[in-house]
Amino acid sequence: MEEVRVDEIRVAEPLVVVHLGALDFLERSILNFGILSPPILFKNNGELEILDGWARLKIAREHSIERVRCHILGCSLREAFIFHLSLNIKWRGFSEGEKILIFKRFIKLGFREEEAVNIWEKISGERISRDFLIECLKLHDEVPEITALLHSEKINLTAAKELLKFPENWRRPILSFLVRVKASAGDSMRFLKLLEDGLYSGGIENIEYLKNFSDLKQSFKKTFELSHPYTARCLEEIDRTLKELPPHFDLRLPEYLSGNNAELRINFNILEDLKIPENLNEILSKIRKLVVKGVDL
Amino acid sequence: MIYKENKGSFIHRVNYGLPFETLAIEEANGCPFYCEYCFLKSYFSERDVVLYTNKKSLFEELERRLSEGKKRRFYLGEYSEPLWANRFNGLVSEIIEIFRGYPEEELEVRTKFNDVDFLKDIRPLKNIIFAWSLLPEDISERIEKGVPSVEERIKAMVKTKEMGFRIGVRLEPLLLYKGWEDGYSKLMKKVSFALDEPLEMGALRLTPSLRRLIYSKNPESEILKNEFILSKDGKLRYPRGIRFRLYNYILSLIPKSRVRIYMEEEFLIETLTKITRCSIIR
Repeated sequence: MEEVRVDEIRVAEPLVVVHLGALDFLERSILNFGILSPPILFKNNGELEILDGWARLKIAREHSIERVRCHILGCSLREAFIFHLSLNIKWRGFSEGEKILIFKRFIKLGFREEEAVNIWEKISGERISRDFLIECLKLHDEVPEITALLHSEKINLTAAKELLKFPENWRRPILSFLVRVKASAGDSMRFLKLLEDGLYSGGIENIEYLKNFSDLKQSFKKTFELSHPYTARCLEEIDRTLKELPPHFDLRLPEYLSGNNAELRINFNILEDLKIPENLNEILSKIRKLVVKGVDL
Repeated sequence: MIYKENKGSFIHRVNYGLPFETLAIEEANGCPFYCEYCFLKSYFSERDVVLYTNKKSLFEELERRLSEGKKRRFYLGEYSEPLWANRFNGLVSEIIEIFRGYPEEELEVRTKFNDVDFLKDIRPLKNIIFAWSLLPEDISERIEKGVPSVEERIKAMVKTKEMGFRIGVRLEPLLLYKGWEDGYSKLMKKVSFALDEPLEMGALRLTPSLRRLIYSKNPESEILKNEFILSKDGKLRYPRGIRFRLYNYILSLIPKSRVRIYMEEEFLIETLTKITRCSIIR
């Protein structure tokens, strides 16, 4: 272990460290107790590079701590990167945003895609495919802000990867829309599937309309109408027919009218006062007709 | 075209939602034509047509399955274009001869090709049916690239029938496109001579990955310009009301015939059965 001057260490743009996390807690700890666990450094082209402890050294530099006791290892850049991953995966884990940065770093450091897949599997225990890796790299390059959004869990990786199905000029506006309406992971997926339907069918030619929405429910409705115009018409007609029923009746239909089962519910709390409407059968048969035969094309 | 040995099985179970067991014979795989809706493009890794060299293994496996005597329907044409491949490997003729020994088992040769001259040398069999997949001429010209025209296919059907073989019409996939009513109306008039055997049809089904593949090759593809819903089996289909209208229209175009509808919801078939003069086989 050696005492090293902090200004001799390359802190600004570390070559192997991947870290998007907040530093507040660590900062308070260092100011109170000092650096308890020594950072690990290695030499690269004569310069002292950080293998582990970037956050500690960054805080040290910001608070003008001049000297820090560090371990200095003799290893290559690629070895240092693998060591950094192994240490941190156990210690703090990586967010999905950081994972994308790690994949990018693998390629930047000259690992082949297959090597990156194998090493990541060994280190993290997570099985990934080469296609997955390529999709992540593409996401990083085409939507750079994605890493921060993934890291802050404003979107998840499954939904983020779905963005790649859309034309390039759609991806960022979709992403900012999902963040703006605070869509959950499930809502994001459902919304993207609707949008995909509209893209392929030609029902949605551009996504300008999304700018007008800050509410998820309304934007869903509009997107559904554009991507599933026929089914939306059927559902409208069904709604109109259902209005003929007293308000205590509630008919549940499967999404997109795609399943076979429909369910008629009656509000049991008011069952004593409830009269079965005489036209119930007639209305149900109208609905059945709409479900099976639809409306005119 | 690639010649190679098939190291796996030649016979695979397939599900057309029919009330009997259906098996497909993989005598080759891949197709030289380019039909926009075809699942083969997303199914096989090889882009070329693969013809198998180990005929003997195919025949042995086929004999073994046939001798089980389960009165099943076997298909040629699920993985390939059998009449086209037959020009190179002569397998259709040989497979037909094997079926001669198993009159209870049925073989359907499903094709879009028009070369049927080789059948002159084969004595017709009752358990073999040649079935042509057909689309209306206008849409076929646009989305079935390299395939013999509908007119040529119909000529081949006439020839095959004259030679004494059973022939069938397969509206698979049944498509919705601009002008579909007129297109199907003309088509059904032309093939009315071929309705002794049940007409079989099924509205277009796509897997999400095939839809993506079609879009990536041609974002303006006519077959995509429709609304699709995701069914419980993971396939995309036209909304039920649209499928109902497609089937109902086709049924209205044909005389009292037997019809089979593939992979369709039971209660939709039930509704159609009540209103059509045709008999829908289940």
